[in-house]
Amino acid sequence: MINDLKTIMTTLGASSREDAIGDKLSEMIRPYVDEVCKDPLGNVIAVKRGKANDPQKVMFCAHMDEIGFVVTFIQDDGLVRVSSVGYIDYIAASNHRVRFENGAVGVLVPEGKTEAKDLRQEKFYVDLGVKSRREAERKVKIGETGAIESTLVKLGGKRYSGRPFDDRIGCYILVEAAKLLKKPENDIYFVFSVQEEVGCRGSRTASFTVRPDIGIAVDVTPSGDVVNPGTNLCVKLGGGAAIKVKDNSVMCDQALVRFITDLAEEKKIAHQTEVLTYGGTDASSMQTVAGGSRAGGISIPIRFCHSPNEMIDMGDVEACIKLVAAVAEAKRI
Amino acid sequence: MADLFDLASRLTCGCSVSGFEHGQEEALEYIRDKYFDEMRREPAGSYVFVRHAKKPGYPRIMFDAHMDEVGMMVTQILDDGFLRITSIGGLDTRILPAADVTIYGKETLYGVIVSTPPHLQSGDAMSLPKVDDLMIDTGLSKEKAEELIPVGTPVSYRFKLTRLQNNCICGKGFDDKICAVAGIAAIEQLINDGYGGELILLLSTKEEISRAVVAAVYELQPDYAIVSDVCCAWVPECDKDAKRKTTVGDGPEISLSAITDVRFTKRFIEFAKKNGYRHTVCVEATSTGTNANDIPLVGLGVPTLLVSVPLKNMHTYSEVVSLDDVADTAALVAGFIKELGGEHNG
Repeated sequence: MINDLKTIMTTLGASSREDAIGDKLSEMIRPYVDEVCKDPLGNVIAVKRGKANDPQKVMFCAHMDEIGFVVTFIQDDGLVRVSSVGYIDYIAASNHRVRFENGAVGVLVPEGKTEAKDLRQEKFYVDLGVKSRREAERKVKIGETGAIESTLVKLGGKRYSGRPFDDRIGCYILVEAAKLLKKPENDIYFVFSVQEEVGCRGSRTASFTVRPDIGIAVDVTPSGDVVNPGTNLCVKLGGGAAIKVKDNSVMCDQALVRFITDLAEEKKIAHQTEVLTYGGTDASSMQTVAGGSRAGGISIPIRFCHSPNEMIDMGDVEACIKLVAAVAEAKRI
Repeated sequence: MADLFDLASRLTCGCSVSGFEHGQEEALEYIRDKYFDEMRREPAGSYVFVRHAKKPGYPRIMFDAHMDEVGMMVTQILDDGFLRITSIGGLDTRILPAADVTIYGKETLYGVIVSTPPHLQSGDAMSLPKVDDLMIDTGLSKEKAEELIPVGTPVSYRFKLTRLQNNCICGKGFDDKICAVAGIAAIEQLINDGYGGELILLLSTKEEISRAVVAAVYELQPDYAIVSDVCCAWVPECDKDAKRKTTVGDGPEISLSAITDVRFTKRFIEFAKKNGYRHTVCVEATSTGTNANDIPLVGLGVPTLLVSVPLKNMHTYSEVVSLDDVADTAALVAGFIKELGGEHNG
């Protein structure tokens, strides 16, 4: 299992460059579903057909893109300037290794003497260890993307540190949940969406294709049990699958929230309520694309989200897998 | 004419915090039974009311007002039973301390937002509070609060509706249910006049926090959309801002914007002028801040206009509107719909 997670985590794929990770996820889920296809934007849409005469369409969506960088300029001295793809916390990203699409590696560093409060995109460059522009251009090209290097390290208990858990851990959960499915009543769609980090774009076209009755985002949610989280967050790491009530992009369907909560109670799956005071997820697009759907979220608590060392608890991940599978096996939602 | 005060009371008394508009069901059924053939809830949460066409050959016209309002949500229960909250929609935190609130938990409970009295304040405590720092006092212990108020419970301003002078009323949630009242009054007038076309009333969900309206409009694909929302009316503080001129009592405000349909809007303004309806015109070049931003682009596109009811003290528990403005909005909209349907002879 951990090897699968490692594969999912280490395949580079900044927003709009999800081809490689999409192919890997397609292969992983293919044995457990009836059809897998890719749409024009690159979303991977897998479906397991239900046996009911009048099945509901239930769509689970985890985004497979990660935050990263795009090369904007290569200086004469071979140093490379980059721009953010998605939200980058430059204080967290400072002095970490960046890996580009063709495998080149460099270090993201701020210009010397930059004070902590001034650490923003314009102050950073990537040092590839080359001496000239010509040499740099052999390694990276303008427009090429990269991301902070992927890591996966086991900590104490069931906790892991690494990146990008946002949202490859959601992708992992969908694959594992697909393995648990027997003969669902409803048509179950597992969607690995593109370009979530730049504004939930992939899930828009995917939702239009699927036209789900029920849409459930499986994404990470910041946990409040850190020193001074800055805002009131009720989710705790290790507290179980987090059932979303709201984030800044969506107010979830109340009946669906109740349904998922009752199901978790009934199946004795560890769960907690999520009220996120900022951020957004693919649930927003599933809710409002075309004629709309009843939307919600099953979230994985995470600490230090969008940093090079995000932290999750595998106990929560296991709970999420069970809960996704339970919702997928439910008769009528 | 419909009883505007009664409709306002029915629509604003229940829970209608964005995403939690379930407290209005009684009012919605009342409206359905009185004016419409059918009511349905769209998957994303909006309510669609349809009065079927009685005669063929009319355009399909949709009137939209959003049925949600700003509010709060419980994020945490503290050891002493106080509730931590977050905002849903844009709240003015200046008016929150000591506000009466209603908590829609397992039971409907009353609470008050904590206000630290000046005797106990020190230094910068007089500065603007952040919603994260505010708390609700219910009088319950932690154990009892946890039992009755799960995390994620919506909270709204306490319902109150009073008549001020000069046909003005004061209450909460007029943004935007007072426009729903205007729309219903317009539809009642059309029914009384024997209008034969289909009439669609969309009470849309989650306007304060999202673009959920587009999902409902996608299925409806009306020929025309008339969006009605409240606009900030002039108050003495606005003197510095010459752009804001409409006053409560001036009648409806019509929005001229690059977002809405210019020809459709101009036709509306011409109709108002020709027939002597009170109105003002407001320029909102590139954004109206309402559902009228989104509806024009749904599906193949919907010609849309925006007509607003002037309102003071927006997003507070003491919003003020004039029922004369509401009645005038209704009359203008009803008259214009008749003209669109080819029935107007005036």
